[in-house]
Amino acid sequence: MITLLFMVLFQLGDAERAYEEGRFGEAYTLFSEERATGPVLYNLGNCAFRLGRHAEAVYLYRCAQLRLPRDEELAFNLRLAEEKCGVQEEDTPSFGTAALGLIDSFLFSELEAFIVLLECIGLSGLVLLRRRPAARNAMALIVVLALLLSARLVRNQWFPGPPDGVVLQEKIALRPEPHIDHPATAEIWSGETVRIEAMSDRWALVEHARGRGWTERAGVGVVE
Amino acid sequence: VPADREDVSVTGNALKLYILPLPEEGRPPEFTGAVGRFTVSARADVRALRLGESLRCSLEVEGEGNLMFFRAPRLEGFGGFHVYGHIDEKSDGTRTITYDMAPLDEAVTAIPSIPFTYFDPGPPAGYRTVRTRPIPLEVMPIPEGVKLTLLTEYGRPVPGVNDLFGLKPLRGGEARAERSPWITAAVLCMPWLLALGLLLWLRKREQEKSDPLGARARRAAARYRERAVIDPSRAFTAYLAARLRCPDAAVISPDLAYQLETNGVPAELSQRAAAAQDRLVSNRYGGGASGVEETADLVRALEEVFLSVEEES
Repeated sequence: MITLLFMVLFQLGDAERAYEEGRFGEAYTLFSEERATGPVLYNLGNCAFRLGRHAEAVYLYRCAQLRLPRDEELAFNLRLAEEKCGVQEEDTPSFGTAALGLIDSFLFSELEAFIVLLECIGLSGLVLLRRRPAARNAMALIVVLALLLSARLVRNQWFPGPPDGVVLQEKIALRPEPHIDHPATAEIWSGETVRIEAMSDRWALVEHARGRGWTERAGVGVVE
Repeated sequence: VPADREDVSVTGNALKLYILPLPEEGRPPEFTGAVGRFTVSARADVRALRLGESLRCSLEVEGEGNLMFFRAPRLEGFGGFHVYGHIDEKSDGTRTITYDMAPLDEAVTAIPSIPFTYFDPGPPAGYRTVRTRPIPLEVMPIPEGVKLTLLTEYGRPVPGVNDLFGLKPLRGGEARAERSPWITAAVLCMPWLLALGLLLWLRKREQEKSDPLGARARRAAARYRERAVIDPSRAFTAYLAARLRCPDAAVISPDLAYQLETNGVPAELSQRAAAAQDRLVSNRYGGGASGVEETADLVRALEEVFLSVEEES
């Protein structure tokens, strides 16, 4: 019975078997039919990487990272795919950026639960220990921390910033206006990540350290 | 100043600009997009190191062209070295790419020349490859008993070192769920409401502790309603005692009407309450109608008076 249960739980699916046997194209197709969860996107990224489509792998890993934000294996694979595309590692972030990155590395539900826990501890402590100054101050600090985290959570949900995009073509040209006749002001290479500020059916306004401008939307995968 | 001055703008002839694509023919595979004329040089931060240690080798590219826009050379399969990665620094007129690399063998005696390919628009136009000079290097053997896992395993893919981590099981992954921001707001506000409730409850409890007679008086009507069905006489007595803030036995006295009047109850209502009290006591021991409804009306009327007196005070 235990053996049967083990077989049911741990048997390889068709997609996994195809991947293990080196049939990456077939594995890619089979994984594509699954619901877009974090592990599925990660596995699709692995297939794209093995197929030599490194920019697409970067894109799929970045999509997976929204669902598995603290997965170290995913972070390593993403870095490897970026290296293959020639994307250089980002500079060491400032303290503020690192702190915001740490907060954003939690899933929405995790952060929400943590904030509610902090609020419960801080507020009940403030009420119950209001006649002990030292304890009251400590509890007030916890409440302030909870408020700061709440502000970030509300900002992320109510006012989310523009999404990221990954360059899927060998390179894309940034133009001042959304028209092919306008000269390119900068070029962004395959696998590099840009910030998408606006989109139409055919064009996307993107921002990158090397410039800002319009590019054809087909060349950029929206990370979502 | 001339009085007939007039500002006008004139437009020159449009210039046609032909942008030719870089030729595919003769393009070396290591070409990374550099266009112009460049020279390269290399330097290493150490000249001697032990096997397993890494060094930094900087490739400096200088010249005229799209110095800031080409991709850094990757150095794939760089002879005798494992390249971990690179740092790219751009400054006026110079691009410095610093590679972090480690020799794979004690037999390595130099960092080989690094090739750099660019397209020279000419004339004559064409792809050119320039190379750095080899840098002599001494690689010392590792001490006895020390094993270098990475180096011994280098050459075959090692997940987490030079290869991907494997697949993930599909079970347990959650798709991204969109949720209304209002639900989030409600969840975040919940602890504040609970804390407010807790504060009010604690305040009330403390107030009752500091004024037990007052608390007893404020609960008197509710307690009367609970007890009246079982024993209306005792319930009414307890109500009056609570409101007059005295023991129950003190209420059963001929001066009840006077006590009520001194607590702000009108004379007529006081008389009625005293009479009802007498009747209830008589009925209790002598038998007779319970008078629950009549007493209930009386308690309502008394309660209105007591509450207004409390508010005034």
